[in-house]
Amino acid sequence: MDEQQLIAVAQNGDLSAFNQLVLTYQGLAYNVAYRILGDPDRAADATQDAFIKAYKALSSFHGGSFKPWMLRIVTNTCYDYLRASKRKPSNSLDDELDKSEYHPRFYDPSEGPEDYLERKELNRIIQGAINHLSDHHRAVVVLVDIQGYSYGEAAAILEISLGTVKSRLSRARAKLRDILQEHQELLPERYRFPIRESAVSIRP
Amino acid sequence: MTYSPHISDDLLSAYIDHEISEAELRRVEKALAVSPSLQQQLKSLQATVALFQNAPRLAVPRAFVLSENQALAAGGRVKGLKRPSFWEQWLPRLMPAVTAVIAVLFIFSFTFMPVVEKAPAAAPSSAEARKAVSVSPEAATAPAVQSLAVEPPAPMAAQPRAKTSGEAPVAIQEVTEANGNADTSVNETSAASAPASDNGSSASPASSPLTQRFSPLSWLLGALLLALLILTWRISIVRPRRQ
Repeated sequence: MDEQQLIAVAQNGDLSAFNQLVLTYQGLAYNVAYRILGDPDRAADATQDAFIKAYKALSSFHGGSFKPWMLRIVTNTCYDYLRASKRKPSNSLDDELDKSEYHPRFYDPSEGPEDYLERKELNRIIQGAINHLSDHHRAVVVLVDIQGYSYGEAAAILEISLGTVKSRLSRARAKLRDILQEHQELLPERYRFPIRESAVSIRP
Repeated sequence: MTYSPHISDDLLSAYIDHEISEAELRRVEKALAVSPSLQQQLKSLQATVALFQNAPRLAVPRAFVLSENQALAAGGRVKGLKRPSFWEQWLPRLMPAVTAVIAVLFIFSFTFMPVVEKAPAAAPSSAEARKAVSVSPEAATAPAVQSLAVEPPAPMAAQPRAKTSGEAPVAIQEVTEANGNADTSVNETSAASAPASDNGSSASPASSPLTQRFSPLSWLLGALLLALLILTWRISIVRPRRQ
């Protein structure tokens, strides 16, 4: 049964069909929620809430791709969580690094201890920097830079214009760059910013 | 911040993602060719983007599949299942609250409401009142009555009260009720109030202290409370455990 058939059956009240969709998208939804909220437990709660909301609103889904519709619910649920927590931005990246503890549920259990430590440090730095962004900026960064969506897809998910995506992403990246430049020594060597000005960039 | 007169932050960021037009592409590359600072800015942005593109992914901590209860509670529709009615949903939560309110009312009626007792139609004679009062000191275990008796002179103290109306017998009766083990007092009090009954009064001298403390309202609330306790136990405790 393909995705459209599953949706149609789920719209008729078939919970098991909807749960198949949940199993398909729960990894994506949870990772988006984790990066936006910065906390694994709250991300799990937000993900569960988002799927409950999705089931309730399934009758309002009128075709098209299910993934952006689902991710829109996930991001909106994360916004609700952020508003509810009224989180205050901390003053230093170190504070954020302390808060964003590495979680043991990362993929690739076969990696060695050195790789594990590097990934742990990398995750702390990434999440600590994201936590410094505003709610809307972090959603764009998570969708485009971390999840790899195009500007158009991100605009569809967040229900904003393409220009707004460009603008938010540009400002978010500039802020992230400034934060990371202050903590270059924490980054793994291959992610440190180049200091050779002779390295003329070419189009990626 | 603008890197050059023609290249904005937005444009440089979009350049990294190939999200610009051909004309914009040519403009950016032309500026990059002549501006080392712009090249440096681009490289730092690219390094930032590369870092976030390699962000580790988390495995889900659990399956987020919905149970039937979750789906129904969310207001969704589940084939083959009926959504619980308003009463089915709220009655188990309301019952304990209603029971608590009735319990408070019951205690209130028991503790604070005065015992309603009709005064005898005809006041007993002053001699009878004196007798009732004079008997009271004999009840050795009734300190309150004793205190009445030691007021000098006791009959003189009782006299004006007996004159007023039927208050004296009632007051003394209440004192003796508080000392139920003083047989003499009870007997004498009954004797004191007997003439009032004989005169057609509705006072109930034969009723026990317990029945006199409970008004009809207290009985009603007590019965209601008992019924609610049983219902609450069945609806809010036993049934959810079975589910």
